[in-house]
Amino acid sequence: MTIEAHGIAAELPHGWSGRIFRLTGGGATLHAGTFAVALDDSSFGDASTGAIPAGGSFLALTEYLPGAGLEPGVGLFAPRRIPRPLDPTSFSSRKLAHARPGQSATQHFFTASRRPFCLYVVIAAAPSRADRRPQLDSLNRVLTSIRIGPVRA
Amino acid sequence: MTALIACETVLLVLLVVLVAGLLRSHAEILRRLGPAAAGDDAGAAVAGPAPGAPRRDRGAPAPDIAGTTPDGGAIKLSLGGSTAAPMLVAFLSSGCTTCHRFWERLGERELPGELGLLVVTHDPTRESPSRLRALAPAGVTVVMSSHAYEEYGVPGAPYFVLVDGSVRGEGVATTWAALESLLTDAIEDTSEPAGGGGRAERIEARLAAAGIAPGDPSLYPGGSGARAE
Repeated sequence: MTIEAHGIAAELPHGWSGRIFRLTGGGATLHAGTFAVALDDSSFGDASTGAIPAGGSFLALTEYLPGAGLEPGVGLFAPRRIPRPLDPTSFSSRKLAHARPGQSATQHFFTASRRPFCLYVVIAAAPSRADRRPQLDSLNRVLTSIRIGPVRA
Repeated sequence: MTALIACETVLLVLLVVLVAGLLRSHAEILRRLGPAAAGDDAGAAVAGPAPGAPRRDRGAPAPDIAGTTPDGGAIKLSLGGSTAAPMLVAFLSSGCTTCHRFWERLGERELPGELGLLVVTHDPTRESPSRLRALAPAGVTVVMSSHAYEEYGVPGAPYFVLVDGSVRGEGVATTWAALESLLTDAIEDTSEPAGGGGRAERIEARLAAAGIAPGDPSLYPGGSGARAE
């Protein structure tokens, strides 16, 4: 099932939940996860990441607004796409916005359609090593489905 | 004299036509308000599916809910998984008078059992996003999805569904008190073994406290006492 709003579209597989929203005065944000994501949350999903079940995954794609030295496609935001597939070794507990046992995260800044974004992905340790690959495969499928277009006036 | 009788007859016919027209328009208004509005003042709560609701397999995963939000966002919620948190799905509309008392109090009332709350309305083709933005209290998520109305077999707004992986309870409530009673019953039912033995025991205890023993004639208002075995 595809959800689409604010110039972002993503295909969410069966069992995934997600929402695209815009906080007051902010850019667009996509939250998606293998569980029912929180309906009232911050840009990087503080509430949702606190509810990830074992073996679950969560991603936040948050748009930054240009200005005050932030320029699309420059510096931190120079990359032009989301890295796919995700590098398993890029996940670390030190990249968590909120340190939680059993969780690790990765983040990546990029620009698409002249819109600067941060992708923040959190995974909760799978019950077994064998479950890790399907967990990342599922995440990569969702990331591959993401489409970012220009913001409509 | 004949002219007077003719005038009175014409007036009578006009009155009959007027009354018939009024009755018809009132019937149409009641029909559009739906079955819930008929019990508006009674605060009726109907535990279990309302008339017209679909038959559901007990324990079957709750259908997903997906749609747009009044502020231009989009949501897809998978409520059928084992990891989904318990949620009250309130099917409301901006137009029904009974719904207004829920819209007004959604943000200030606490739901029992730490339930999440999701309000579902019809699509933007049948609802005004700007009107919903004005009605929805801060912090309450509204999804516009006529598809969800169909998937959950909603007979009309207001209608409430308690979801905890599967549909645990559903029904019509026209007041907050009735809704809370509906939810409390559904939560207690789901936390008890199949058969609802605990609930039956509680009811018997309440009756006993009121001096009504099993077989008491007052339990059988249509008969003369305890049923014949």
